[in-house]
Amino acid sequence: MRWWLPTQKVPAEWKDYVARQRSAALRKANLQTVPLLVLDTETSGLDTKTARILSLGVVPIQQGRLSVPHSQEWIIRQPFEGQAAAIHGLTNTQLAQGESEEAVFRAFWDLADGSILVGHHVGFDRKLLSLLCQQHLGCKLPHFWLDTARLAERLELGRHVREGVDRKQFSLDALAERYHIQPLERHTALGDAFTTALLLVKLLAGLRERGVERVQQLL
Amino acid sequence: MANNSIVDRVHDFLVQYPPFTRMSETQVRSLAELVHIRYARPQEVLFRQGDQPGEYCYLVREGAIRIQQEDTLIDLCDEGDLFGVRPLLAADHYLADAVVEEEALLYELPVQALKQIMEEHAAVALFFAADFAAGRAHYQQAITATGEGLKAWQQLGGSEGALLAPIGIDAEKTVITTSPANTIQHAAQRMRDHGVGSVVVVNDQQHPIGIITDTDLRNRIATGEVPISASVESFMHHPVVTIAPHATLADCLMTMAQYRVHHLVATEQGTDQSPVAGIISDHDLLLELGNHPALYLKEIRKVTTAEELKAIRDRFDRLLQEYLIQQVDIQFIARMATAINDALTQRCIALAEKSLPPAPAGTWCWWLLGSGARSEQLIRTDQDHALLFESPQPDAMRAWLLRLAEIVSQSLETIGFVRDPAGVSATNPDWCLSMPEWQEQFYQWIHQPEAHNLLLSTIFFDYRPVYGDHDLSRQFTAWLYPELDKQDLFLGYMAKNALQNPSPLGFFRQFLLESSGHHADEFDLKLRVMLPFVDAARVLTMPHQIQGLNSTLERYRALAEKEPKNKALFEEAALAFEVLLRLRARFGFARQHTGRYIDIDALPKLERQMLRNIFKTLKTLQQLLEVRFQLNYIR
Repeated sequence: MRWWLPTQKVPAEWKDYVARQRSAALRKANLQTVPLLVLDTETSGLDTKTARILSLGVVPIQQGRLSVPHSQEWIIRQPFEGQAAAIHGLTNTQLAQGESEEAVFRAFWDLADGSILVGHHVGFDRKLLSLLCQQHLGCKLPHFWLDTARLAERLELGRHVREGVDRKQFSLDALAERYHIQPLERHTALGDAFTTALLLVKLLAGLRERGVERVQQLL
Repeated sequence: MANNSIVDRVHDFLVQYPPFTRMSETQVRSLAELVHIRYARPQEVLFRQGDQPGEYCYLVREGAIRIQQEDTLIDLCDEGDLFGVRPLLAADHYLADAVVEEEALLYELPVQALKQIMEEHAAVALFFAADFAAGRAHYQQAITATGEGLKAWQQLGGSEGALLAPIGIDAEKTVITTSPANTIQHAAQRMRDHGVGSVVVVNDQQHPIGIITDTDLRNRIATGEVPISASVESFMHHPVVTIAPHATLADCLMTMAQYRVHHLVATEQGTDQSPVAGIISDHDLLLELGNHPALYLKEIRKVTTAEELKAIRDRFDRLLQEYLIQQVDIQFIARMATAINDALTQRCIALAEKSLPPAPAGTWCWWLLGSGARSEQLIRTDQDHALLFESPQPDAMRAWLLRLAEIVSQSLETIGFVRDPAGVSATNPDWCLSMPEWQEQFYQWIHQPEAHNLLLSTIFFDYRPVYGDHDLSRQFTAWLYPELDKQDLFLGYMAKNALQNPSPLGFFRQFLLESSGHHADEFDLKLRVMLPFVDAARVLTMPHQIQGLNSTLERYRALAEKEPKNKALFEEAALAFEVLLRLRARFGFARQHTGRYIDIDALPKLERQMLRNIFKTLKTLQQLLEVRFQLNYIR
């Protein structure tokens, strides 16, 4: 958490928001009831310096239930060079119908208020979202994060294993298979977010049986 | 709004299962958009008996949920099953626990949204009412196929019209009333005199103020809890649940479910402040709903292994049992069972046919024999079948058919129909014959009526084509009947054969229990009573040349029409045979066997009495045979 310094300048209008996301109450909240927001993105590349988010899918979990009514996917209209369609699976037409990056980010920001953010191998998404936050709102993204890949490692390998973890064993595909989850549609932001959300509730149930009950035990 | 791939997935799942199958596309989509998805681990408790109802009903996406009361398993819900629907129908607590059996994904459906759809959609409302009623039956007797019957009916889509069609109520015939000041004994006598199961208590203006049913008499009078001299007023259930006389089926079911009653009183205005017009019981509704086994038939056509067919037949057994308990018309039950059994046989043959090389040139027909042919095989007993064919290469055809028969027989065995111990089977080269060979065989039976031949005749004279070229079978029948005409004596021998087992009258207990073997001390219901009825019906109908009537019941009914002076006797015989069919099926289910042997001591008094009357009928019938065929001359 060194990246986030409380002393950093936060625009006045977001002070309360930021404080809410870092509150002690949230830290101590029970994992069964705390609002969670599972997300995934599709991007135009793999380099954080140049990649842009093309779509963002979110599945909120309220009281331990995946909320279908609040699940959604935003398509972002980017000045686009027509590459990598094979990976992200979005057509130019779809992208042309997207919303502006700022509008999407602000909508996401509203939805994420009070939630712990969750992703699978979350580093890259987290970096890009944080950049967006800096760019459009002038502060860092303040939320607590959980990574389902980490949670699976912890559940399967124990708390202290850091080294020599086979990343492939903990890919979303591998885990979905291991935990008997029918992936919705791979390689769309919403599809992967949904798969991740199902994985999350299963992992949390397993961790609960190991005595992990509060958010702070996983941070 | 959430118009996305998750909604699509939920929607695609919902539309596979009732009641969603009956909703409009828009309704299902709007529900799918409201779903919450919950994951639950084994042993997790979703709700407990007595809990206040929640805001959601549950649909199992994956896994299994136990519904239990105390520690008794009531239902096991798996993929596609809906449970916890109680809050939809009544502001009432849950009646059972729901505990996760296998890790589960559940779709939670908001009660409010479902209620709204129920209001718009009678079929959906009925589904829940039926489900609910089934639940109730569960609690009472731990077996319920009623619900499944209703569900089955739902699934195949009993037409909307039927749901909304008013139920006809014949007030004069069906409703018996009494006044509150009468004694219970008086009320019971009235019920007996009119042969009804309930009596409505009315005031001076004929407004219903209470009801007494058979169940009450059993539970509270027969047990001595209340004396029979007590007044009707002190004993009756009140207030009564009333309904308008032209209520729809859906209305009736819903109302019964909501108030948890088995009887509704119809009044002229539909309220308890107007005169009684009729009464409706849940049994009436069941009959009204008791539609075709078409759902099972559809399933049978889909599956490809004998094991799957067995599973379907097993499930169907539960439905049959419930119909037996509910005293549903035995002819209806027999028709259903016949349709299912035929379909199973047809499916087995079709699958076997596919697994073999093409048949040699010619045509063939698969015959059912015995009880199967007479459409009287309610429970799984012996397989009796034979093959009739016509081919330019009879030997090649026979060889091919015998291979086919072996596969079919094996499959039927897997399903639970044991092979005939006497070898009456299409797998037997003696009973896999060409047209000329069968003609020769029957010719011999008819013209040389010896004991052994007669026994076989009784089996083979009841044949019914079930698969292949039915025309071939018709051609055979066209040959057979004139042949019978030429040989009067044959009928005499058949009649004599029908008398081989004298009516057990007079020997009731001591003499006729089977004295040795596996079934010592039991009564052979089939040999002693049922077969004599069957044999008598067969031989009596033969001179009338009534073709196509194969079942014993149909035969007696036809005889009643053809011979007015013996009408009463034949009607009695039909009734007796109905009782026997029911009795045998019930024993078969209870004891997990063919129901052929019954334990007289285990029979309730009423049923023993009934058997005695049946023996009397049989005796009269046998006397008729003796006179008609002048059997004293054939010694």
